[in-house]
Amino acid sequence: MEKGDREGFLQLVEEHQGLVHKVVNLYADTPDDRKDLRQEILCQAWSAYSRFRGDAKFSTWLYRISLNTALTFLKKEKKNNSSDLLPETPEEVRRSLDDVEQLRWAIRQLDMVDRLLINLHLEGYSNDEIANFSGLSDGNVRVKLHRIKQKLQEQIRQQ
Amino acid sequence: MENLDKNWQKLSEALQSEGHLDRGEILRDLRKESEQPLQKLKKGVQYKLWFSLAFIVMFIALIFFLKPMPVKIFMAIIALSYAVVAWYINKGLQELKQGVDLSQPTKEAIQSTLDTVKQVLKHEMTFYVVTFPFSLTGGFLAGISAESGNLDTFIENPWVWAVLAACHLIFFPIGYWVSKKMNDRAFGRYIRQLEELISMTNKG
Repeated sequence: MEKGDREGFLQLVEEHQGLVHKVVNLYADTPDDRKDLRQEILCQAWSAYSRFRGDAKFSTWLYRISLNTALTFLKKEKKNNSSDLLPETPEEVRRSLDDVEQLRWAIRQLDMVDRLLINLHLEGYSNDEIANFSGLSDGNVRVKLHRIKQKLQEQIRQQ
Repeated sequence: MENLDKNWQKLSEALQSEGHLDRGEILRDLRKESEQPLQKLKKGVQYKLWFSLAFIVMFIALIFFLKPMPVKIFMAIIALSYAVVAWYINKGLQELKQGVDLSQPTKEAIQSTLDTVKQVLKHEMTFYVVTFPFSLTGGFLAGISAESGNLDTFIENPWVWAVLAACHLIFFPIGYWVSKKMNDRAFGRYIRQLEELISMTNKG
């Protein structure tokens, strides 16, 4: 890779780093995992950059790589399953979280694939685009999203 | 649902602002080697390639050092089989170096990652199955001929044949089992995680 390519890549990543932080903070639980995931995303994006032809926007391309890396990322084995930042039980959640944090908590209770789908849906992607992004069928995306939204709202209502 | 969208907007902004990287930090991240299992596999395959090349050199050297003609022929066969294995490993290594394209749709990206990991592990076991009998027999014959200068002891004494056969019967399955266990210990958790993701995408 030439120096100009690297400069271009660094500039683009600097501009769009919010996307990387968003994925890292939503998909990794511990500070160690977050740091590892961030590095992994940047390494994957850099190694794939030579294949980036500009057909899609850089932000969409980087977001796709970030999400796919997050899903295929091997987290460090934890001594226990609890997250370091989020309270463990709904009772604690009810006492301590505002609406936004409740949503974050509820999303993180979902499995990884459901998290990806609701994430894209809330970002404003259409079902068609989500199907294209995820590789799932259109119908499957619709059914899953309906179920996930019900689950999310139920979880938030319980609090 | 309206609340969900509104809260997501706020959450999305909060998540994006939880962290900042300057150019130096991005560069430092890029210099670090990936610690993902695929990278470990790539290193493992690289070591296997060097290992095979070293064995080729060693067996070719033994052709000149060992005197009995049958042993020379056997060493040549072993060197040749290692050359075939090395070619095969190098092919796998080149594929691994290209990496999995994570800019493809998620389901395909997960499936490609899983397929690549499984394929490399399968190659590893094939490597073991192909090279172990040759290596054991080669080492055995080299030992005998180095001690006596010929293979007469081996050819004339059925007990030596029996010992060689016993070594194969005992050590081959043990080695195979140990290799499988080690692979499972190193990569089993990762494979199960990817398989679980695939099954999640298939779930309605």
